[in-house]
Amino acid sequence: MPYVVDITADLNDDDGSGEIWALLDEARDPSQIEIGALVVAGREHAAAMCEVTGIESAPTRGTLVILRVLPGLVEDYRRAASRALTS
Amino acid sequence: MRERRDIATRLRPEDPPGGDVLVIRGGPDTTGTLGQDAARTAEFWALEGVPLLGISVSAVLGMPLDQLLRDRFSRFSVIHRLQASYLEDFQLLPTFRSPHFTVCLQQANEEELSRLLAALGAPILNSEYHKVSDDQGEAG
Repeated sequence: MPYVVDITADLNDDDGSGEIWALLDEARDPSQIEIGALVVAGREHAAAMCEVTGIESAPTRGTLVILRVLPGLVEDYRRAASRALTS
Repeated sequence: MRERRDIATRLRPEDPPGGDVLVIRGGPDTTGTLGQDAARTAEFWALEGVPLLGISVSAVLGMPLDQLLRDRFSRFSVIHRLQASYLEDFQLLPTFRSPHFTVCLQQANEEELSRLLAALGAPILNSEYHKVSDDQGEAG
């Protein structure tokens, strides 16, 4: 399934610690990116649910976004939300 | 404005993987995605004060291939799988948690990115796609 992500990131950067980095100028809607927000990060072919845990000024490209990769698949969250909202 | 983080603080004291060790990168990649990822890394990390143009890979070290694919690549429907010897033109830094490595680029220009993409080879299907490892858990 192709994903339309909230913010582009490379999930290869997750070394198991759960933290990856992104750039705000690669967000689909930068206004959605704030500390504590749940977002879908990655690319069209691979994405993960993430929590925004940090926002910092970047050296040359505006703003860095620190993401904590949440366990499971994006599809798991959709199924869980679907169960909660229809029962 | 904050400074880049020093990747030296996240290096592991070990050698690069031997040439016959398998290296995995979730894909699919193009020169565009590789360049984008390298540039993003360079915004965040520096090595000896120089922005680090690098991309992430994992080596098949300390665990079987299928376990590595479940642990770190279950979200990728396709992967690039190659022997480390294919990356001999590039410096591999043992970064973060084993078996993560950073492939270092000099300029990340079209020529260098094309060489890296050729080394990665064509993407193949990930046999562990959407299989969750025991310690990753499921969200729902």
